[in-house]
Amino acid sequence: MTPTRKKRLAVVGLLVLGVSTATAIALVALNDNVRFSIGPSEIVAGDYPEGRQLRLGGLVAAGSVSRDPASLAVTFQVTDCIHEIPVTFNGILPDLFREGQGVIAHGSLAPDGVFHAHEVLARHDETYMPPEVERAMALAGSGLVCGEPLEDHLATVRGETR
Amino acid sequence: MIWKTLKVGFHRLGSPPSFYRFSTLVSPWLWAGFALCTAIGVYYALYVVPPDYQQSDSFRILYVHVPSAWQAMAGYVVMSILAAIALVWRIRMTEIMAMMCAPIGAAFTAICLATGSIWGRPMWGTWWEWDARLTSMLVLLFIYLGIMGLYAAFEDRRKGARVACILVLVGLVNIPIIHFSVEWWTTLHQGKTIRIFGESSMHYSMMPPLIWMTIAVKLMFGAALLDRSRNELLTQDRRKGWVQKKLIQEELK
Amino acid sequence: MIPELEYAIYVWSSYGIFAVVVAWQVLQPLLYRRRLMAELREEQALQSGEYDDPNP
Repeated sequence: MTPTRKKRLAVVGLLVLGVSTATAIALVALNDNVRFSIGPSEIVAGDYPEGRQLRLGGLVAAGSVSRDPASLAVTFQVTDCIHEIPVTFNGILPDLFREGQGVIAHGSLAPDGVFHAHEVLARHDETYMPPEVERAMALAGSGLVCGEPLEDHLATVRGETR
Repeated sequence: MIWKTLKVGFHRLGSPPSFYRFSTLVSPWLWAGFALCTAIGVYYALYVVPPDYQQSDSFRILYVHVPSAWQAMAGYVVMSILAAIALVWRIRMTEIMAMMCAPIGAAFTAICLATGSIWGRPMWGTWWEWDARLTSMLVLLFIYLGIMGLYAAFEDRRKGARVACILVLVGLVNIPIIHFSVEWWTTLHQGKTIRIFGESSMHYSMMPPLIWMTIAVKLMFGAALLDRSRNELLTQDRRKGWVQKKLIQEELK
Repeated sequence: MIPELEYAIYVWSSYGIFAVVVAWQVLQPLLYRRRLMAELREEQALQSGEYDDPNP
């Protein structure tokens, strides 16, 4: 390699290194703002002022969903398996919304500790499988439950289907 | 011995007439491979594979969304390698090829964003949210467009390519951000399904179309890259002797 | 023949977008090359003096 090329290679290397370092520093500094949602435990522990717009993320607690038969109003609890936050919402829920589903509620916390959402989004996990497999798992009682590590759950899925 | 053959072959590809011949010969085969793999992949994706337990048939969007997303990122890595070679060794063919990666990568990024949005509407309940994964992917599209714009802004193509190659390397930092965004931050987008190391969270019966479509878009990237580079080469060298000779040859046929 | 899918409109429009963008990736270089070749031939004809002007 000629000296000119060596020099150019060094410059290219420094360029990539410099940009990466600068970005890494910026991202660490911005870390809190990049987070899309916060969990119930953080709301319980943290000092998020009432009325501030937040995105609350967690699972819909089992047995907590109650729908008003006359309107679109619905209340449910969002849990991270440690704390629960009651949520009210008036609108159309995404198709994936159900108990045990990951959701993100966009809204604000009222003084009484109830989270008033103006938008509810559903999250889904990264697992894809046919319904028969899922039914077999449910029969075997191996659906994901609070407290069970995800890795164990996935191992059960694989064991069931191989 | 093998190394030497490779090196000679590489140098030969660097010469415009050889590249022209090579791309004319290879590109139709890549397109044919793409068509075949896509036909098999789409058939499996829409007819054979069972619906998902949670998302039903909407998960079939995955088979165009995910391969496009992977290719948008892999294409960027290819472009960066070409750009680095172009900057250090000043090989004109790598400059041209690096620049021609951008419109194809932008196309795949656009497919990824559009199909992701269409998928998000029924499943998440929103077309768009500013979460880290979605935003970093949108940034990738802007980087691709920026590279294309910068390259086009220069009268001198070689100068334009060199300046744009620097932007390519600057933008490379976005690729790990896209990849790790779902791990580093809480996002609306779910985590990784397919893992190269370790087990994937996708049932094996759903894998074949994903593999076919991934191969298909890789072949397509190669084919489109050869086509575009050949055109760009022809445009740049239109006054040169080898192009004039080629024209006369083709006229005689 | 056509599979009956849930969320059919979303699935088909996604595959449609894929098809359109791929078609553009095939056609754009083809059309560009055709135009360029015609231009080059014209230039060559001009230089060699065999150019018949379509509108003299």
